[in-house]
Amino acid sequence: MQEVINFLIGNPDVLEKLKNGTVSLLGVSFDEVKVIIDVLSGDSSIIKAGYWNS
Amino acid sequence: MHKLIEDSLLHDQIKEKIREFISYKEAFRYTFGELTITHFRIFGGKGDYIYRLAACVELLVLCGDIIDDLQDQDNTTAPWYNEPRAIVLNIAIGLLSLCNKSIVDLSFTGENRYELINTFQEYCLHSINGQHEDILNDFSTEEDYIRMARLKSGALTSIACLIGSLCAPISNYNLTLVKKYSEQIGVIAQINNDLQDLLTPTEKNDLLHLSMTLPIMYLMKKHNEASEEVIAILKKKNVNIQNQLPQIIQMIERTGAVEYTKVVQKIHKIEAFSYIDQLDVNEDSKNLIKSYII
Repeated sequence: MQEVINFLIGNPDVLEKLKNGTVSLLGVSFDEVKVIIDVLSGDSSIIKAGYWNS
Repeated sequence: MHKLIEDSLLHDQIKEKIREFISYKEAFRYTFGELTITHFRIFGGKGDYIYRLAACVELLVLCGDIIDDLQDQDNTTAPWYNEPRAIVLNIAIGLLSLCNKSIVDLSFTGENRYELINTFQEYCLHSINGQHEDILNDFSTEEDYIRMARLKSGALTSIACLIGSLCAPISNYNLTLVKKYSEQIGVIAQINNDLQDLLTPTEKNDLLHLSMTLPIMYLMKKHNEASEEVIAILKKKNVNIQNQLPQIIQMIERTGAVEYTKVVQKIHKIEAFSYIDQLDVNEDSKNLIKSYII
């Protein structure tokens, strides 16, 4: 997953194609692709769990 | 919690210190205790003893916080930070023993009584094992890290969810699902905690000790120039890293480490939601459990 994120950050044109469905990521599930697109498209939400301090 | 402490056999000075520690924790939400009560009610549990059980879970979490801070020595705002370490360690051991005794003494006589006690003790051991792996700080892969988080943090959220569930007439089908998603809740919360620690320039920042969290593991792989620059600064000798944290954090935002961590976190969230959606309970109950993840 690290390599996928690094590649897409360095190649925004491929990210656009991924969003348009004209390219796909081998070995990455449909749900994972959706999450990657959400996060790299600026979904900056961090879960507000606040469970502990460790 | 105060009642559990008052009724215990602990030394008066220990009771006084624990009361002080509980007061400090009152500023935070009692999420673990809430999870216990929520699961008890969702699966049809009845009885006031659940509040004692929820208090016991919160005391266990307090114990975990104290021990973690003793090991890391980085939480300067906690009241136990300025106490002698020997005293704090003894209080933590007292709390752990008190929680164990409180579970055994619980006035719950249902058919899951043995499994309740066993689950509490077994998951406590899992959490201790996870803490041990975290202290060793010897991770090189995402899988290693997630295994540690499952043990350390997942076990604590599992205790909260499972013991509330076990006091209710829960089906084996639902119990299996609770085991699965409760662990994920802990993993998600731990990743969240790591992200917040990374992006906050305080003495708790994991960059200061290169503690192996997901974003730091990403940086260490030096996938790009920005990551290489960050690691070069962190590994420089005789440099006060804490003073440079704001600039380093800005640099990290160009590396992809934050995005990578958020992707992993959200994948675990999807997994947790898929288990919750399979529960044999109404939609309101499913949404209530999900609210502890969103």
